Amino acid sequence: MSSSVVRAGLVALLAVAAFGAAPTRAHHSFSAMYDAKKPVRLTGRLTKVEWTNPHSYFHLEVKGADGKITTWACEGAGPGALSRRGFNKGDIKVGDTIVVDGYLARSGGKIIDARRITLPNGRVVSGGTPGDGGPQAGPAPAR
Amino acid sequence: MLQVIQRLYESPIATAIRESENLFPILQTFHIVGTIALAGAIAIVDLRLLNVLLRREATVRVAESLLPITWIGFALMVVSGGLLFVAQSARIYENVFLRMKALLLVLALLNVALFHATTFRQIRSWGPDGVETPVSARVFAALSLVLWAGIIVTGRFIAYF
Repeated sequence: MSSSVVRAGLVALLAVAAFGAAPTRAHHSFSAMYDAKKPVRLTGRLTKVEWTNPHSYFHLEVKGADGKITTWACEGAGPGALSRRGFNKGDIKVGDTIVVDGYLARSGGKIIDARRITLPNGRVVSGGTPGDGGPQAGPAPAR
Repeated sequence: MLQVIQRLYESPIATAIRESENLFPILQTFHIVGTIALAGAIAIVDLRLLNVLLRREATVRVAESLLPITWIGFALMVVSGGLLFVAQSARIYENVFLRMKALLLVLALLNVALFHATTFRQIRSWGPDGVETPVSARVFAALSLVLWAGIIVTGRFIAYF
């Protein structure tokens, strides 16, 4: 094998490695985990708030039509993005009732992407991760 | 072990980073800058050892001039990576890509330690310039490139699983 062949091969290998290292999806993109064709609206009582990077989680107890209570996790943007929209950790507490419009996870798990959150005082804030490629506005409110 | 991880996760510094508005993305940025310095410097030395780059330069000169950058990159990686890990420790402890990355990291460090303990010791006798590097050096270099590329890929994938 001539050295120029070896060299060309190595350059190709490095190029493959470099592109493999940079997935085209942005950090934890919307479509990697959630289905834009499955909007959902959850109204429930907050049981736990994880005000965390890189994503925050709002855990809700939701009462279904059959009266059964299910706990859902709603994934939102990190603390930095939320606070820039005027949504701060102190705006919600465990026990509050909030409304979350979002999209179901592809996995079928009890987790949704929180695109729009209605706070206890009626204020509506955007909950989605900036630049994740997900739908801009929340889904149309369900009746 | 899980208890230790949980304690780590709940420590004040981990919580502060996890709940911070800016510190977390700043640490992520330093982790990327560290990757460029560390993996970039390593790749240049590896490619010299493989006779792909800088073939007219003595290997020892290439290796020695890039060593400080490698160490700066390594320090950035360890500090930023350590803090990003503790901030998320309980959540990502069982992540399969985190474990693969840790394994590859151990192998890469063994590879470089072994290289410096063996082949690298005779580097000055390889001659001044344009001299082909020994086969053992090329094997170490190829392994190094594959391992560090693997560390970057598995590291990136931790966020998606």
